Amino acid sequence: VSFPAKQPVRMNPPKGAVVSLRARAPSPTKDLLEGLVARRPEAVAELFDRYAPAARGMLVRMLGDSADVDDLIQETFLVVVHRASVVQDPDRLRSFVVGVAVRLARNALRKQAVRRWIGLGDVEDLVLQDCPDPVQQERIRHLYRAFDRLDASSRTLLILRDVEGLELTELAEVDRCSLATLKRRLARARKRFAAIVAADPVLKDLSTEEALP
Amino acid sequence: MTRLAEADAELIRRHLGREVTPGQHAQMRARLLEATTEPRPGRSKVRGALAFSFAAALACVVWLVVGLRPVTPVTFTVGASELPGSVGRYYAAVAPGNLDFAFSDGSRISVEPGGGARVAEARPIGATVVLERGVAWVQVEPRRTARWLLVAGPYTVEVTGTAFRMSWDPSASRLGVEMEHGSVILTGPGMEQGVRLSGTESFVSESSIRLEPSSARAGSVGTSASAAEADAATAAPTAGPMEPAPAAAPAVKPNGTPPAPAVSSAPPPAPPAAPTWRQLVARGDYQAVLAEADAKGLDVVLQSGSAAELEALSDAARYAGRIAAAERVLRTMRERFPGTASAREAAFLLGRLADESGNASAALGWYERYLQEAPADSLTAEALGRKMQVLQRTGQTEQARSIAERYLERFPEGAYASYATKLLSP
Repeated sequence: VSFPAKQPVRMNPPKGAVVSLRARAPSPTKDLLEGLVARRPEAVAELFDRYAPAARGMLVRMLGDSADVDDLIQETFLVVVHRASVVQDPDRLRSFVVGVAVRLARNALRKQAVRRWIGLGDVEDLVLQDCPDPVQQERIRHLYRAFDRLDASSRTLLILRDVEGLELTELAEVDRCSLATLKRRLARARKRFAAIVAADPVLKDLSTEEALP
Repeated sequence: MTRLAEADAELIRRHLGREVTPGQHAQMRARLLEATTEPRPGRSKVRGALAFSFAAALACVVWLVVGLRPVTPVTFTVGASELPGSVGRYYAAVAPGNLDFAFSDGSRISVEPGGGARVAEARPIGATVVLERGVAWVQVEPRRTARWLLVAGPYTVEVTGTAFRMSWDPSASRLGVEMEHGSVILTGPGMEQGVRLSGTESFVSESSIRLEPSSARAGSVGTSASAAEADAATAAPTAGPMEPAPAAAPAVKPNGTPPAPAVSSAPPPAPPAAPTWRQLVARGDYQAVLAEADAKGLDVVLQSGSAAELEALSDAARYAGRIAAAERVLRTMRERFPGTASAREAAFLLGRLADESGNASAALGWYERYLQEAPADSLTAEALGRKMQVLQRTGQTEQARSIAERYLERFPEGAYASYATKLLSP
């Protein structure tokens, strides 16, 4: 029986531990954008406070946890600050942050794949928070094993859409493509994922959780 | 097309994320602030960095193409007609001539009539050849990183660049190795650390696989000349490798080579670098684990397997859908390792298996047993919550409500808290 509970598991996560980009913060103001362009420290700090927790969670879920996440967060916000001038509309700032994080995550995934290919890296085991049930643990691990077999683009698309709950229009913006192209890419990713999942004994049935009474 | 189920997405959202403390967050923010106030590299610096990166990338590509180019495994032909050989296939040497395996790197293995062999694995710089029976002449081309393995029963001969004669009689579990030149390292029962043979030394095992007193010798090492002397004097073991050897032949070690250690009811060692069952399960190769267990006999494995092996086996059985086998393994774990964490967790998983197969009473029994054995363990909340669900589902509402109260008292923030709250709401 696989009991990965022997791995580090946080037993008491803080309340509201699930931080998702689906939970939208109030729109940033034009002042924030102007402050970022001018590299004003208070604007940079506000940007980080506003988006870093959600971006961190998203990166962890896209990468399947990684020691590189903190570095990626720094890199994401550095890029955002340096390129803030290209964002015309404050409402687009969130998508811009997500887009930068996703591109960096894809690069990291590709690097991971190359490292594995040349034998320099191994598949890292997931570090799960507050998940004592071995059945749930193995399910999550199998899901990520399936994700590991997808290309970086398909993997991030599926996670952004199904786990992070991004709208198609927003995904298209993040992916810098038309809605039609995005739908094609998503369909292709789902098809690949379906083929992988079909061969996995743990993932054949999708959910065994019971509905609440 | 498969869309991730919301339940799975929620599972990921709930359990995969990384919280940082306010202090860590502030530290990272400070790092960012520091970095954003630093002047950006000038255009010329950027150009220089780009040029350097391009050169480095080019060098990496060259290195990857030249140095890490996937090298194809050695190929081989079989017999005088030089038919392409296939890995894993058994080839028998039929009289009158020898059966020759000619490898693409120049190495050759020649099996005498009556013998049989197969190439179990072909690597870019070497191969693993299993001598199933008979006598083989081996000549391996010396290469610095080559790794050639000759396997006969429980014995493995690791070869670098050398020539030798090897024989294996499976009915008598008798191995013979006669060196011509070079050196090999021989491992097997009683010789787990390996015995080096070089020069013109020879080795012949006794019937070491048979259960014998531990004072019996596994084999003997000596030179060819001394072997001949021993032959004359004692009907010695280094005579023709396929000849029967006395059961308790004396060790011959005229050249000071330490004799092989005493034997040997020890089981044959695992093949070199063979993955463990846990590793196979981690790779998703459940069928390989089940096939190995079936080959050994499930009863034997259940009786003699370690706790780790049984854990891996139960995983493999569950993942492969062999629920009955999984249950049997889990029950055996409870019998053989009572009182351990593995046994307790087996009770929980037996409950889950029973629950999923619709056997509510068995599920309740196993959850209850787990709760008795582990009143405050990592799965206690889960077991209590699931017990509550089963009771509710089977119409035992009062008991379910009682469990719900207990659950909320102990785990107000638990995963089943909202279920329990709804259950208790009027």
